[in-house]
Amino acid sequence: MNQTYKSLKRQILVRLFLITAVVFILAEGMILKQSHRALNNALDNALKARAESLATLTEVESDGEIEFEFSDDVMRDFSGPDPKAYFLILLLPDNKEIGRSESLGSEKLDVPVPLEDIAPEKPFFWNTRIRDKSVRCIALREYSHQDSVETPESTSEEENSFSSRQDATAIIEKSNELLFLAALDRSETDRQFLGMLKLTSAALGIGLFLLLLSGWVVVLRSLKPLRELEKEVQFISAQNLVPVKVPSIQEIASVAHALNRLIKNLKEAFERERRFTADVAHELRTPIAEMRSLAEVALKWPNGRIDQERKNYTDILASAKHMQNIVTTLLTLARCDAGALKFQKQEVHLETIINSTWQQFENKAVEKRLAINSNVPSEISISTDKELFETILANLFSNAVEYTPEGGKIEWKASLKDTEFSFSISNTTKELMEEDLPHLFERFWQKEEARGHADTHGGLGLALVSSLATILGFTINAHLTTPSFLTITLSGKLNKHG
Amino acid sequence: MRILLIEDSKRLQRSLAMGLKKAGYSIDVTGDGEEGLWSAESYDYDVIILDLMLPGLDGLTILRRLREKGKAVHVLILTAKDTVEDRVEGLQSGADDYLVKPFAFEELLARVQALVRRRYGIKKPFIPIGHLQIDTTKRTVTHKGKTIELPPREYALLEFLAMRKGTVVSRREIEEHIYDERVEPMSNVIDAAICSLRKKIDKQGKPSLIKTRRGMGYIIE
Repeated sequence: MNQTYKSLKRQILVRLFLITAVVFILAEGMILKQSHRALNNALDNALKARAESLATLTEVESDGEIEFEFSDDVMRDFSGPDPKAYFLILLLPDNKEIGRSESLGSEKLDVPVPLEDIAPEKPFFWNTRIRDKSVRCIALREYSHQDSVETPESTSEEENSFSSRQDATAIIEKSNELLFLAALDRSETDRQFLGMLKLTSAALGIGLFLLLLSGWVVVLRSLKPLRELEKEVQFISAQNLVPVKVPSIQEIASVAHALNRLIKNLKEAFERERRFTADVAHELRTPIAEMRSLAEVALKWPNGRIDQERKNYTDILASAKHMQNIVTTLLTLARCDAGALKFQKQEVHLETIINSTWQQFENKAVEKRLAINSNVPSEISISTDKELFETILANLFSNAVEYTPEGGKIEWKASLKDTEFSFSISNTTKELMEEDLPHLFERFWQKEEARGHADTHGGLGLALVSSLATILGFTINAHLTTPSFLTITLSGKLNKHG
Repeated sequence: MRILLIEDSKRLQRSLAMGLKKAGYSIDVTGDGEEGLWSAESYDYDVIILDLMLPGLDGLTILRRLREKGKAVHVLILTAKDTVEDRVEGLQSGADDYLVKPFAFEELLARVQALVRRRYGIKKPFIPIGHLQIDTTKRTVTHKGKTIELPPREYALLEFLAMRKGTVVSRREIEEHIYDERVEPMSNVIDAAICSLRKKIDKQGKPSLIKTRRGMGYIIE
C-alpha cells in the first residue's frame, strides 16, 4: 500500500497564509473603500461649492429675466488649454441652456437618470467622461433667486455664448427652476486613489511575505520536537524496542509518553512470548527424554516382546525424536529472537559444505526419484558461521526433498559477484500458490494439503532458516518461477576474503 | 559397577534404572537432592548420573559439596539445560561429563562405560585376562573368538575384578559395586556367584583365574 501523506508543515503554512491573506484583503478593501469615499466626498464638496456658487451667480432680475453673471477670471479652471472644470446651466423644464463653460465647448453633459429622480435642492453626483477625461459631475435643481416682484413679462432673447475674460449677461425668460450641472476633472483624485491602492497592495504583499517567512520559521521551530520524535521512532523495531526521548512540549510529550508505554508493553509482551516459548520448549525436554529412553530401553532388550509391541515402541521413539526436533528448533528460534544465539564467522568453502550437508538427504532423494541439479562454482568461499549455515542448508534441503513430489526436480545454484553472494534452491511443488508465499517463513505454517507430510520440523524449518539467515546477515525470499516451481533465495553482502 | 542416579522424573528413573540394570550395572535411584548427596557421600559409586534441577538440593550444589569433601567419584550431568554457559558451568563445577536431555540411551550408556573405564585407569575397552578377552563396550567375554554366555550380574562381577586386576577386592567392595540391594551380612551370595562364574570361565584342570584370599577377598592376577 502506497499512501501519500500530507506535510503538516505545509498544511499549517498554507492555511495560515490563506486565512491571513483573506483577512488582509478584507482589511485592505475596507481601507480603500473608506479612502475612496473620503476622496469622493472631498470632490463632491468641491463640486457642490461650484454648483452653489454658479447658483448664486444666477439671478432673476426684477424684470423677471434670469441673469447669469460669470467671468472666467473668477474661476480660471473653467477655461484654458487644460481645463479642470465644466459647467452647464439649464432652464427647466425645457432644458433651455442658460450658461455653458468655455471648457465644455460643444460637449454634451447628460444626467444619467431621469430628472424626476433628482430631488430639488439635493445634489446628484455621477462619474462620466468629457473629451476622454474622467470627470465627476453634479446635478443641482434649484429655483432661481428672485429679488423683485414677479412680472408676467417675458423675453425670448437669450445669450448663451461666452468669451473668456469678458462679462457675459444672459437674459432669459423667467422660469421657476434651473438645473446646474458642473463637472470636475477627477484624474487627481483617481491618481491619489491609485497611489493609495498601490501602497496598501505593497503593504499587503510585504506583510504576507513576512508572515510566510516568520510562519515558516515558527512552524519549523515548533515542529522540531515532532521531527526529533519522528527520527527516533524510525529506529524502533521488534529487535530494537527502546523508549523515545520525551520532549518538553506538552502535546508531543503526551504522545511520547503514550508511545513509551506502548513500547514498554510491547517489549514485555515480546519478552513474555520469548520466555514462554523457551520455557515450554525447555519443560518439554524432560518428558521427551522420558519417552525416548523408555522406548529405547524397551527396544534394546526386546526379550519376550511380541512384534506389535516392538512396533509400538518404534513409533513412540519416532514421535519422541520428532518432538525433540521441534523443541530444539523452538529453542533456537527463541534464542534468535532474544539475540542470545552466539555465532562465530569463519571462512567456509561453499561447495564442500553444500555437498556434505546434502549427503544426508541423498538417499531420500533417490528413493523419490528426484532429479538433482547442482551448480556451485568451486572457487566460492564465504565468511559465515559454519554450524548455523549448515543448519540453514540442511533445512532448505530437507524442505525441498520433503515437499517435492515424486519424480520432481531440485536444483540449486550459487554465485558471488564482488561481494554480492547469492544461493538459491528451487524445487517442483504441487501445492504451493502465489498467495502462500508470504506465509512460507511463518512459524508453524503449513499448507493444509501438506499437513499429511511426516515433516520433521513441524512447520518450523523455514522459520528457522529465515531467523538464522537474518542473524548471519542474509536476506531470504521466495517466489514461484513458474506456477509449479518454488525458488528460495538466500542473498547478502559479504566481506571479501582472500 | 554401581551407579547412583539422582533424577526427579519418576519415568526417567524407571526406564534408566531398567536399562542400566539390563546393561549389567547395579543402580541406586533417588529423586531428592538431599538424599542424593547423602547417598553419594555414603557409598563409593563408580558413576553418579546427576540431574541439575532437583527438589531439596540442586545438582550443582551436590556436585560442589562432593568435590569440597574430596570425593573423586565420576559424575555425569544429565539435564535439560543446554546452553554453552550451562555446560561450561557444570564441567567447571567438577562434572566429568555433560549430556543434554533428550538423549539417546545408547549414548548415555557409552558415556557411563567410558567413565567407569576411566575410574580404573583403563583406556581401551578390551581387558585381557588369562585366556579370556573382556569387551567392556559389548559387555561380552570371549575365548578364542567364542562368546561365553554370562548372566549380567556375573559379567559385572568378572568385569569389576578384571578392571582391578592385581589388587585384592573385598567382599564388601563387591557388594557395594555389583549388588543393588544390601547383601545380608554372613550371606553367601557372593561366594555362590564366584563359584558359578569359575565354572563358566575356567579351563578344566587349570588353576582358577579368580583366586581367593582368605579373610580378604578375591583377586585376578
